[in-house]
Amino acid sequence: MTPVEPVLVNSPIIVNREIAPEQFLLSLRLPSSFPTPAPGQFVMLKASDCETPLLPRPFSVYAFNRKRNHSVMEIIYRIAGQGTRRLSSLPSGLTLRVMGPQGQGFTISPDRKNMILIAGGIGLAPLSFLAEKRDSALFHRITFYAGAKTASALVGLQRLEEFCSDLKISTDDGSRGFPGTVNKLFRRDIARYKPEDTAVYACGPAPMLKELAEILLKRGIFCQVSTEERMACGLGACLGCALPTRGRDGCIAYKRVCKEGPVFNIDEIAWK
Amino acid sequence: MAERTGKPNMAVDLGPLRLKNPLMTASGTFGYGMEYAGFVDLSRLGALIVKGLSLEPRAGNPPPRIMETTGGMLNAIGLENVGVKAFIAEKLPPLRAIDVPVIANIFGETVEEYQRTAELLGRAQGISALELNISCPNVKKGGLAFGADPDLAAEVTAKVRAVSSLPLIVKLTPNVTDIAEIAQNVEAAGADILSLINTITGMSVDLERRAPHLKNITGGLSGPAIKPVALRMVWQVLKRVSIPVIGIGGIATAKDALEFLVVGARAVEVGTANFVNPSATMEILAGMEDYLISHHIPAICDLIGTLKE
Repeated sequence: MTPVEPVLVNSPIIVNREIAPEQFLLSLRLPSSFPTPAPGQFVMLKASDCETPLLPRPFSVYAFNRKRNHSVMEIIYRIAGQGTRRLSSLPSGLTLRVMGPQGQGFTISPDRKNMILIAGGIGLAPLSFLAEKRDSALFHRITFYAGAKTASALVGLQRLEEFCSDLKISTDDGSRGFPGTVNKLFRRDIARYKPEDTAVYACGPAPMLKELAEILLKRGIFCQVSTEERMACGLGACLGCALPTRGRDGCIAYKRVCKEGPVFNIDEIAWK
Repeated sequence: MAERTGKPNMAVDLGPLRLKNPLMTASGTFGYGMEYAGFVDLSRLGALIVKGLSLEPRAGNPPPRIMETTGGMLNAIGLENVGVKAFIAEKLPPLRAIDVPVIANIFGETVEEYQRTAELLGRAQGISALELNISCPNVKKGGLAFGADPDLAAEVTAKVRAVSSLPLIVKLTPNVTDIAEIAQNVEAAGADILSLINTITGMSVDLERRAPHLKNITGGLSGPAIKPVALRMVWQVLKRVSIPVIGIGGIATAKDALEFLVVGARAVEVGTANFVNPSATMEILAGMEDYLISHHIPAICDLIGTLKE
């Protein structure tokens, strides 16, 4: 992947609507000069004229499409705190400051024909983008595991059906699909996937990713995860978004989620 | 309408330094400089102050390291940095190609570490001044001990002064009873310039978890919330010292920067605003020039220390 330098642009909101309880789809009109994000990359968003919240917030890219004289970027977010609550109240037409695309995206292996995508909640967003943008010439078989707390919290499934060979759904409360966590559903199938032929990509809450690391630990399956940490600048300067990783010497080394991440190899992370 | 006679003169003298304008970047908020090259014309900055450097690299604190609070943010980065040698070898060379004074912020856990770090930077080409962090409140055994004690503050200043001929800025902590007393001691010990304030120690609690938001429990508060405290301290210190002062604390707009100059600061450092908007320094600088033009003030110096009390 060729790294592109992030840019700073003002971009009007096209749509900002609730698609499930406390979950929103935001689409932004970007100038054509905005570089095409790679799946797994993120952008920093801030309502330019408001003082609260102070800091911009990072969001994974859900979709990005070039039009004749502009581009449209989509984000899925859920209300998680002050910043996203404020974002959810912003109307169409209002301008956001967008910085990005930023960070390291997912690495696609041409030889691993089984792509397993595991999403917890709106962790689905970057993985859906990955499924959409895969190189069709590589003939990957994509199995998508989408998990949520309950059926009404599941979003983006219709679009996924277009991109995936197989879409498997789980809900914690059993209201749709497999009853239980998405990891449990994946674990049920894991024996089918040959390690040398398989690549797993996951995004979701930290405890889910930690459990996935344990599931994959001894199987030797390539796995990348998209991580999350509070950040201030989103461009590698504040060192706020430190993620503990294991260095080659076995010692803890902090890496920046915004620059070296947000996507990391799962075996690189020092899970708490 | 008065005629516009071109751009105002933005140059300021700051002790031994002459800057093309009074706008600098605050240490710890601007990386090693090049992180912002895509968003800021670095050559338009009055000076660029890099992330605090120690003799050896430091890994920093476990996360979470930052938390937004009302009008500001707390940080407990833990002085993570690449170490002075890697800075000189890897981070400084690209900065030499840019026409901007580079100021190295340094800290240590002992006086000797401060001295060794200062010596190494003194031999490196392309450093215009040192800024001594005697105030970082984040690391146990760290800067706080020096900056909070008038004698220790004077000692570390004098010892660095003795081994370095670079212009010496000493950055003061607000977490003291009488900042002006520390300022006087540091001046007497040989500082050329003072910069203030560093972050104010604070804390934030997650009610649902009944736990601190930061792993380190406490952190340094920065951002617009601290500006009134910073203005007050700059004002207090200027009554007791005769060396120039750089104002720092919550500067997010041209108006904020100009207020510090009116109080008497000869330059300002922009910090947290760089996180809010990576082009903040350029917008603030343009706003300062616009203010002078619209108020028919020919030179920024004409504004410095004009507070009517």
